[in-house]
Amino acid sequence: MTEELKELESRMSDGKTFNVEDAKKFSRLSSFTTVYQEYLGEKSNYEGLVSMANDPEDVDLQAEAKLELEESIPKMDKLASGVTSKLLPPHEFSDRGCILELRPGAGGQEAMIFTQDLLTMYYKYAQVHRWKCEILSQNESTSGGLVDGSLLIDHPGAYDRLRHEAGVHRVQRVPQTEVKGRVHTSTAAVVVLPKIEEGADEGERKFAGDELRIDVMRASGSGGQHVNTTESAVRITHIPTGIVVINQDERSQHKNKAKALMVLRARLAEKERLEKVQKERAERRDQVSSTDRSDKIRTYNFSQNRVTDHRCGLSLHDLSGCMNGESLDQVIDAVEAKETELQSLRLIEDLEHVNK
Amino acid sequence: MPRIDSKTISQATKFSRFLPWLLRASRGSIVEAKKELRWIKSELPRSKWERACQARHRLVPLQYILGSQPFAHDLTIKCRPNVLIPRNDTEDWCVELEQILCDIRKPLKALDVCSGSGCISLSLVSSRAKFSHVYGIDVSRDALELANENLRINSHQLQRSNPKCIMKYVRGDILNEKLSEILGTGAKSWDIIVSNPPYITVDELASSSLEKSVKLYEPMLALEGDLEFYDELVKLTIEAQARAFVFELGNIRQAKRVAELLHLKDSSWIFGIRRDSGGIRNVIGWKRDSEFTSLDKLCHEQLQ
Ligand SMILES: C[S@@+](CC[C@H](N)C(=O)[O-])C[C@H]1O[C@@H](n2cnc3c(N)ncnc32)[C@H](O)[C@@H]1O
Repeated sequence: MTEELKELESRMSDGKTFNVEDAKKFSRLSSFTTVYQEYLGEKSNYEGLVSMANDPEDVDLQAEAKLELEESIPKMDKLASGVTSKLLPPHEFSDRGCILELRPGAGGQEAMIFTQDLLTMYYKYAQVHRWKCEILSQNESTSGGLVDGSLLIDHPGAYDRLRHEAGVHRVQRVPQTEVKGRVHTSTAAVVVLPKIEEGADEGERKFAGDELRIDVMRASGSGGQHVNTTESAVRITHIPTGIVVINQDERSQHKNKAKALMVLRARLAEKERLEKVQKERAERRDQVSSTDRSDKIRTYNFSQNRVTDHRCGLSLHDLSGCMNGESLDQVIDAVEAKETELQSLRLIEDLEHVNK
Repeated sequence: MPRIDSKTISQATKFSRFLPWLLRASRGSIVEAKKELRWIKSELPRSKWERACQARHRLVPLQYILGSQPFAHDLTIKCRPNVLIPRNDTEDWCVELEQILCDIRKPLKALDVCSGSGCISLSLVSSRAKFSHVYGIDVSRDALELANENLRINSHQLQRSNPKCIMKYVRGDILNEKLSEILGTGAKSWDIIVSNPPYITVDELASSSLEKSVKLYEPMLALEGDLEFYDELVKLTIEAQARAFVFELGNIRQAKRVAELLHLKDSSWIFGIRRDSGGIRNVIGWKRDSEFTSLDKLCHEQLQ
């Protein structure tokens, strides 16, 4: 890989035959080598320390080296996993913002309240990071909680971080309305979509004239000067796929339309990505489908002040910190590390396969 | 007005003590009422919520209660009694029109006749289309004053897209004055005329096709009209030597009248009509071989 980089470098200095593909490759490779060099540096530092620590001549030096080793080892671990994650192909939408769509699952009223809690958690999480964040829609139930809700986190890379949140979240707690103090279990589902820009970037998606059906939803007949209604809901149907997006939260019909289009683009992009992933899995007859989409990914246990992520096995005993967005990162870090581990195992398997 | 059943009212009360007040204007729809309540709460101080909801129960337009209506990309149009509230249906064609006009390179001169709050002219100038002069004409002093306020509060958006455009709102009575009497020497050589004149006929005013809130609270001067306005708009288009126009309207007679009159004067005009969910909404015209032929993208049907 270092050689490939060298070749690219020399081609670049020639100032010829350097195209967009090369530029992308170059930036990937060079960011890999930076991490790799750092790793090698730390490794030789580590080796030096080890030999010092074993030096029978100098006892003082021995003690000092041992102290430094304690710092060096975790550093090296971190760099090593950095190297593996750089080796793995980046996720398709890793540089994008995201849209989170939340819906209550089993558990009636409690599930709706939990859906609201999750929406708040992600909103606060975005605030903690100072990421631009906007509630796209929240459909309140008359008796509290949300029938559905969605949130736009308009920050590059938010998708890559939050894609691990997709799946079924489970809550165990005593509802406020529960007189007997019994613990209820209910769920909410989270969908994570990439934000696709409307502008001229490469992920852009243009719609043909007959691909969309746009309806404004209005009760009365003749429109125009005859009505001054506040109804501003817009429904967009994507005819080829049958996907329907409704937006009605803004007073401006024009904004509702723009938001609905953004959500439609996001759903289409995610749908296409999932189809691609499935196809790739089928091609390699991948049986280790790591997590089924219908599986619960995480449990929030209120009476034990505990959040457990079932994918990586982490239990965090700071539920309130998680729910106000501050320690959610600890959970995501653990899930991310697990993903990298699984992926590198797979990479090694693949390599061995090729070598045979 | 359908009666609202007691079950809906008690359901609304459970959600918020303000919500039942909003059911009448939203024809008993809890979903619509909840949206209005959210807007009221987010745009008005707490001390005004109660009176706002009660006013809404009397069918006062929400836009007058909140004092504004968002329009097109990111304009805020101030609203107050005596001036017509900008309509979503108007916003729709304005946005479509802008998208067509932005392909024309040369900065345009546009007249907004019967300009009211100024929403049409302001949205054009705040768009990606290029303009050098945009004037509005209205007979109502209240409308002119409001349009000028709207010009001020949206100046940032206007500056951003058309920093050199000259805009102003001028008083004029198009039923009784020629364009040269209203604009003086500046009456000639406009490129495009846009207008949303009063088009609700006397018959319709008496019927139930008009929403109660419109009839009770919006100015008759802005609503009641028919062919006489379109006759004048045709004369004005000729006098201004314009090569294109987009007029909003309420029925096919009005569209046909425009096409007939203009065709008599000059057979190089081409006409089309545009519909929306409420039915026929615009008559559109352009001179053959002019830079405005792409206006046919606005049309659903040719006329004649
Ligand atoms: C339907 S409103 C349109 C306002 C604004 N352009 C809009 O789309 O919201 C019609 C406007 O025409 C004005 N108007 C009525 N009679 C007029 C006349 N004879 N001459 C000029 N303007 C007139 C009214 O004051 C009112 O502002």
